[in-house]
Amino acid sequence: MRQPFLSLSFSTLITFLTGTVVLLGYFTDLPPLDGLRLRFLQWAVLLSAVALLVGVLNLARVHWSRFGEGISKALMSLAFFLGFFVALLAGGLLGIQNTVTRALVDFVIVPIEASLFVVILVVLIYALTRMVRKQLSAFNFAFLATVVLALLGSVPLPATQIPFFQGEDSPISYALRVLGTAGVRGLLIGIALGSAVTGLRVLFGLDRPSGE
Amino acid sequence: MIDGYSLLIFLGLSLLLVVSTLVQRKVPYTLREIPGFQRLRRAIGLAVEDGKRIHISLGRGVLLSENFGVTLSGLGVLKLLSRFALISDHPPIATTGEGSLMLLAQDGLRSTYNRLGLAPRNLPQQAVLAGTTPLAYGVGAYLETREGRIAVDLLIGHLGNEAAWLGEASHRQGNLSIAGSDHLTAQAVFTAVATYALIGEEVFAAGAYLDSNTAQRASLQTQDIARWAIVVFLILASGAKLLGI
Repeated sequence: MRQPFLSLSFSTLITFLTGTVVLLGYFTDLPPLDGLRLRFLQWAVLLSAVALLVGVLNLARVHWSRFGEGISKALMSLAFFLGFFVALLAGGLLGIQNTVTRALVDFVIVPIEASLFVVILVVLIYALTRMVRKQLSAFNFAFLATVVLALLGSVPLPATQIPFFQGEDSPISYALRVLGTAGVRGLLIGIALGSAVTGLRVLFGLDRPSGE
Repeated sequence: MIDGYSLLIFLGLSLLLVVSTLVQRKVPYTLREIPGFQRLRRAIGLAVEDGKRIHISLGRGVLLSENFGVTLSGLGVLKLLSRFALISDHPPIATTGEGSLMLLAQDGLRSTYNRLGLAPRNLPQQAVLAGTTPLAYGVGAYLETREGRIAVDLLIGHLGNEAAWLGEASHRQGNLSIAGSDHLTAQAVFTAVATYALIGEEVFAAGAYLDSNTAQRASLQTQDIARWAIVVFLILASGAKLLGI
């Protein structure tokens, strides 16, 4: 079916007008545009905060409904509600600067997150070995070789350096720095272009990723 | 004061996008093959037949940040896939790490229900805020993947190290996982853990591969033309610098 070039609905019009004002406010510093841009951004920040609250309530609702879906899910939902109410009471009643709240963060949340982070490292090592075992294509080989070379080049050893790998002027370190920077720039240029064009598509009403 | 260069780039890209969209109507842009998307089309059909779900992880893109571009791409994919999968007994689920993103995902699903003439059912369960910090989100989405009778995990959004959790959960369940992010660390992680990793700007191409929409194809063409312009500019600038101009 042939699509209309610009499908103008009320929400598309609002998107176009606010987006254009915010963008022009960035490019120029004309007082009325700059003021409007800041006002729109303040509204968006407020809406985001309300959306976060709605999201948390939605999560509580989902967990509430899971109490009837078997022991495993019920236990997870119970853990969620325990954590939720403790965080609500500690943060809401005692305040975030209170000793008890800070202790909860320092002795419960931070260690849990640190342990999860360590598990991520283990998962990655396991995934790398799986990659080698299952399919060692040219791309995977290059990826793996880069990981090994980068590790050899960056792991500190006591009172010694691996020749050719470590040190500012070593060939491997230089090659990784130059090639790595070039690769990163290439990827970032692609991502920046993709983000900009996706934004423009939404701004002009050519695409509506959400809504009618 | 006017930031002339930025304004020029904005106007140039806008013009290119509009012209490409008009040109698409006469000469459709040919897309190169990306194996992940080819496999995805088949996998969606199989998932619907098997009574399994598709899980779309939209990540933690914040509405007011520069990483929302890839999130918009993920939202578009959710909306497109839901057209095929909402008619099944197990509609797709989306996990997010941001409240506003959850609302947008629910809005997209609601619009597809309306378009198909169906009454929206259980939207709060279909688009969920899985966690508000990176690791909390990773674990929340991990649990959805593990518990939700999933066949395909699509990870398209702003994700970081926590993506390793999702990829691993998907692998353990024997699911097909296709993953892309704007975050470089996540891209490296996906290369190791996902069935198909989308590298660089491939993540923005998902919509064009799933739908023959002219705007999506025009968007890809615009990106390609702009990329070539940047390549030529970089080569010329490097040459000029070498020659001391």
